[in-house]
Amino acid sequence: MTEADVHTLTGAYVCDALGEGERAAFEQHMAQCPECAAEVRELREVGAVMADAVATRPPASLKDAVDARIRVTRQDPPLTDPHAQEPQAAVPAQRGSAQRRRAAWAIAAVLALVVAGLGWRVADQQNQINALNAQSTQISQLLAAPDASATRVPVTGGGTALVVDSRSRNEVAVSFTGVASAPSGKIYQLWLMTATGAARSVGLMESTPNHPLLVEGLAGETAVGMTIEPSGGSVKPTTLPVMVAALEA
Amino acid sequence: MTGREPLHAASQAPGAEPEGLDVWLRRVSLGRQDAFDHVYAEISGPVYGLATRILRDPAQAEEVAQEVLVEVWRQASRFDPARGSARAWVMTIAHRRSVDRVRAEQAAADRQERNARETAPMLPEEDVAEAVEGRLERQRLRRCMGGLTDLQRESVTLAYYSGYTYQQVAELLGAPLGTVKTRMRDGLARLRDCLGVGR
Ligand SMILES: [Zn+2]
Repeated sequence: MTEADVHTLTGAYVCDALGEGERAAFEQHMAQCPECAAEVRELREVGAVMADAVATRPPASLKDAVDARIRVTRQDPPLTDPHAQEPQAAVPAQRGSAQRRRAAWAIAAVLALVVAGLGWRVADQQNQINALNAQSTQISQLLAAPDASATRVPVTGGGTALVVDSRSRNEVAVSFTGVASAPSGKIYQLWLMTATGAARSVGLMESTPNHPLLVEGLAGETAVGMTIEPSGGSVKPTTLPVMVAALEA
Repeated sequence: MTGREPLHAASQAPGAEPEGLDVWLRRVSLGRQDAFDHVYAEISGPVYGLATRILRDPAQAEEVAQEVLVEVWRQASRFDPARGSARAWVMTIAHRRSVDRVRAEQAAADRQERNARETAPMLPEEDVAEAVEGRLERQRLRRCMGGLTDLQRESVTLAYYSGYTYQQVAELLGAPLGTVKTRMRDGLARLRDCLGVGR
């Protein structure tokens, strides 16, 4: 393609009608070409009108799912922030309190995992922790990680999931409370999901597990989710998640 | 709930003027879920409608719309009013995600069915102009579409509403690649001038 030709790609770019390689090449060009950047900006306003023209009322389930996810989705910092590319570089003054909060969460998480997962009573906490250690040294190591962080999210249809993850260990543990068994002929399937929506299966459950599940080998995924799938599981999610929890970056 | 939840800012003063989507997006960027409810009410229809149009599968459209709306929440601080309207920013995300999904689905289907059967030709199931008809507030777009040449209109609508690459559009229309690229550009430019947007 000649240099003169590349300027004519603005329309195809705005329509997302370029292949992957061409799209990237044009974006590189646009970064150097103010005319193309300005034209793309203008033509995108046409796209907005075209989208409005096909507006359709979405099902109520969409709002529920989005609300459930934004409750556990951390927002990106502004790009103008000099630290925008490294969101983990928290303000130093807050570092200590954040760590203390995480440590407190890790302890709360131990108890919650024990209570929820093993069905024991809250009394006699030391016995519980010892038992959990015996049950799974690995989970206790996850819980003890300095960057272990916990979140509890609702499960569609009732109950909650407690999710504890550690980026330094690349592990996440999930335990469930009050979640119904999967419908007859179906199973629960657990997924790790990337920011782009790609999902990889990390486990199948016929019914609600009675102990915490540990997933190892996180590879930069941003969320853990669960769907209801036909027994035997699916290659990729075929239904909307009943549970999604953002993973601590 | 958890330490991860964003803090809520003070709510909007009562009696405030109705404000633009860009103002609401800025509030969303402060972690305000109440502001997101407002944004959701404004954009979920076009986002879901566009995804449905491109994917032609309500379940998949709902999944993609969910991804887009969560991305709007996550990236609200990245919206830059100097680079276009808030609505164009959202719809750019929605269009890109829908097209990426339809291409991924197509690639997967191609892999699975390569030896089974030929994939049905990807012609649009209905005329786009027809779907746009009948809604008063959409007559302006319809009128402006009517001002395009056939090749401009078909190139723009096949790419934008069906998610085809310009190569696929050229094949469907039996037109040269270079011509189709140019028609997408001058077609959109003519719509821009007719609609009076983007300047
Ligand atoms: Zn250029």
